[in-house]
Amino acid sequence: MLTNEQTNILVVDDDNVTRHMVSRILKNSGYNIFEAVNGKEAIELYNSVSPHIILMDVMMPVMDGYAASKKIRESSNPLELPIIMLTGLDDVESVKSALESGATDFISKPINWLLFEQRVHYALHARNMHEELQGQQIRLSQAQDIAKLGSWELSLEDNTFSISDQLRSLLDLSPDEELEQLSSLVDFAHPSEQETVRSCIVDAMSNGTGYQLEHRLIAKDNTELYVLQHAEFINDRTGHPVKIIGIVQDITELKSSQSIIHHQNHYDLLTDLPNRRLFTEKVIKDVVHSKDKNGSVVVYMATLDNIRNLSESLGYKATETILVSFASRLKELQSDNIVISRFNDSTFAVMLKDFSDFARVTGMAESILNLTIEPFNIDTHEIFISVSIGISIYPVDNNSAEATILGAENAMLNASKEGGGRYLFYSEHSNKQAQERLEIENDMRKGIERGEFIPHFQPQINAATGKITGFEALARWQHPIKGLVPPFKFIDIAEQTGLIIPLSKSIFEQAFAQTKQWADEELGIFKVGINLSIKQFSGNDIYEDIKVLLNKTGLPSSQVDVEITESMAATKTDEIIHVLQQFKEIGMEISIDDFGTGYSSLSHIQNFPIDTIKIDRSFVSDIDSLGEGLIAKTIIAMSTSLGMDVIAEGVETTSQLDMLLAHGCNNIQGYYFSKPLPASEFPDFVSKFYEDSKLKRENI
Amino acid sequence: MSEQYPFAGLPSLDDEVVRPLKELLGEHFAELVNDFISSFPPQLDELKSASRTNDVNSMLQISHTLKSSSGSFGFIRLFKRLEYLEHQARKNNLVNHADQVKLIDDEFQCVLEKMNIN
Repeated sequence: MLTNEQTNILVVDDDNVTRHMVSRILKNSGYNIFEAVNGKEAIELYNSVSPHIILMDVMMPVMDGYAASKKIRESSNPLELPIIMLTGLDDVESVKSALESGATDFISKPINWLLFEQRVHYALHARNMHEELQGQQIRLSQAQDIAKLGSWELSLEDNTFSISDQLRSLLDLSPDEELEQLSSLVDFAHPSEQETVRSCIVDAMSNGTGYQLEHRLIAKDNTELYVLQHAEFINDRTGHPVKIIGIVQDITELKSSQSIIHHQNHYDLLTDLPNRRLFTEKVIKDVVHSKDKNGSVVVYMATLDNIRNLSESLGYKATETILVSFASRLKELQSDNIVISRFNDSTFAVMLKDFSDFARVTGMAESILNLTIEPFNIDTHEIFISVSIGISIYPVDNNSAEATILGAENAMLNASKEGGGRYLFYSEHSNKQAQERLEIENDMRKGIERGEFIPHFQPQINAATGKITGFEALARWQHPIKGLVPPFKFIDIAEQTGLIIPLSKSIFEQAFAQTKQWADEELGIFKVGINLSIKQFSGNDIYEDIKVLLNKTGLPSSQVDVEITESMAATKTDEIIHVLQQFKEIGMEISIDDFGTGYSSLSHIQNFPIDTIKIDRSFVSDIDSLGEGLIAKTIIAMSTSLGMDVIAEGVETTSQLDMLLAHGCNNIQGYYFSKPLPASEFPDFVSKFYEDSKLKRENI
Repeated sequence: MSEQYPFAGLPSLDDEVVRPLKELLGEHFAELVNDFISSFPPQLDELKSASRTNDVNSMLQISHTLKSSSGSFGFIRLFKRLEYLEHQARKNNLVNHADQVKLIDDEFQCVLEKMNIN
């Protein structure tokens, strides 16, 4: 705000006495006074001294006050430069002429001295206020420009919507472009965030509260901006909301800086791989996550062998080139469940999660080892360099993220000490397990090719009729060295490695051919039960595969009973139901195995085209214990009410048989009648079974 | 003759004007009054001359200027008489302007007396 001493006043009057009086009075108040005797002189002084206010007589020689005022107004604004006419002509026309010529106000002569200075002071005050306001607006506007702060206003009374120049600029709108309503502003939000912004506004409107949210805007020129939008309700004196004012701040640069800082803090500058910090964070996060899912996380630490020696002989630049090259090879292993990091100097870390089998764990180690098969090119040299890998598995080897990482580092050092170019697990147990798995897997591959997997047949008897109705074909591994390998030693690995598919195919084919052969030899028309794995429903046309095997062996489809487990029924429902229906259409029967163990609801099971429910052996053995077979009885009752057949597995004792028969379960499978038999022994079993039955009947 | 013209009942000095003016101008009051008093007679002479030659325009200009400064000092009767003359001159309807100029001269003498008293 100007002080009196800083204020220039131009006094224009041809009457020396009046001009001097006015000047003197104002001088006494400290103002700077400039005097002119006519309009022409006034214009000259206006241009040279830039007065803050002009007091001007109307009637003057050379150029009167009206003409001078008009001229001055060509380059001045009434709010910035008040012109007060000192006029003795106090008729309406004179006043009108004065105002039309650009005067701001008029003071009649004779001048009322009591009020004179106040009038001048008031005019100057108004002018200074305007200047101050304008300055504030300019400063605000500059601040808004600097802060990239736009604003909008929505009147709740007449629904008018307006935006500031800064917001217009943020949206890349032209100066005359307006947005008609708030929803027009929402239309500028990123398409994926429009719904969020809209619902935020709707919530704010209905609750009468403000809101604050970060979102992206797409400006008219398609520039994407990050903005922080903050809106508040403005109330009138009675507390009634009258408008909403919104502030929109462009935080794109802030976001970008945050992103750069985050990247620098979490990524290695040389390779752009996640650094130790980010890797550790991710391992910790996934360990916590896997705890909830009973999952596992594997950490691999891989160090390039003898890199220090190389650095000394070829220089650090060459070492960096090798590190960058190895990093880019590692990146090729990248997938959703893998995190790769440059952990420190020459050590890289890899985390594997959500893996389905142990083979994947060793497979990844093999893949990392294989990355160094090709040499690294340094200038014209080809450098061969190996890698030592340490592996630690959470929760098998260690029970925390940090310990798992440390375990992998220790294992890596051991691998390096043993000469490098290899991988070692943190624990001996894991090393041994890996070795065994690898051996079994390799053996299985060979065994399938060599036909070492054969079906054994466990008879199924209808105890009511005394007839052998069929058998379940069960895989056995006739290992040339280890002998007969039980299923629990290889089925899981077969499932994990996908070997279950060729293995099952081999078993099915042999079982179908054998069943057909026994029919042809008139040993009996038996149903053969085959077990399907969930893997066979994934990306395989199991229906077509079975049909091909039936055609190849000549076994009628009506002699096949397809068994799925209850746990399978709980997953991939639609896909499995579809395939099972195809089997049904060609006359096969469907059984659900291990029933009662998979927590399926009855209503869920009803969706499947099931003919027979197989009571799991655990419920059958329960008949002889305290439980008295309550569950078995319930399953029998339930199956009967659903019109399904029921067969009991694992029947071993007379009391179990009696109880099952007493409750209407006539179909029996188990050691009570026979263990699973090799094909060679089955015909003898059949003969003996019927012979014994005949003897029994004769004795009766 | 003075009864034929208005303003005879007005005082020469308007105290409501003079008093604050003295306060505002302080020591400069007397100086500015002297300026007025010394600049008034030559212009009065010009006014008389214009009256003699019946120069309406000059009478208008001179009466306007003298009126303004007279009013500013609170010489209310002088102001009113000059204003009356200016008014008639502006309407080009001057009646007895020689008499009016005489009254203005008389009133100026009266102001001189009053100012001397004061």
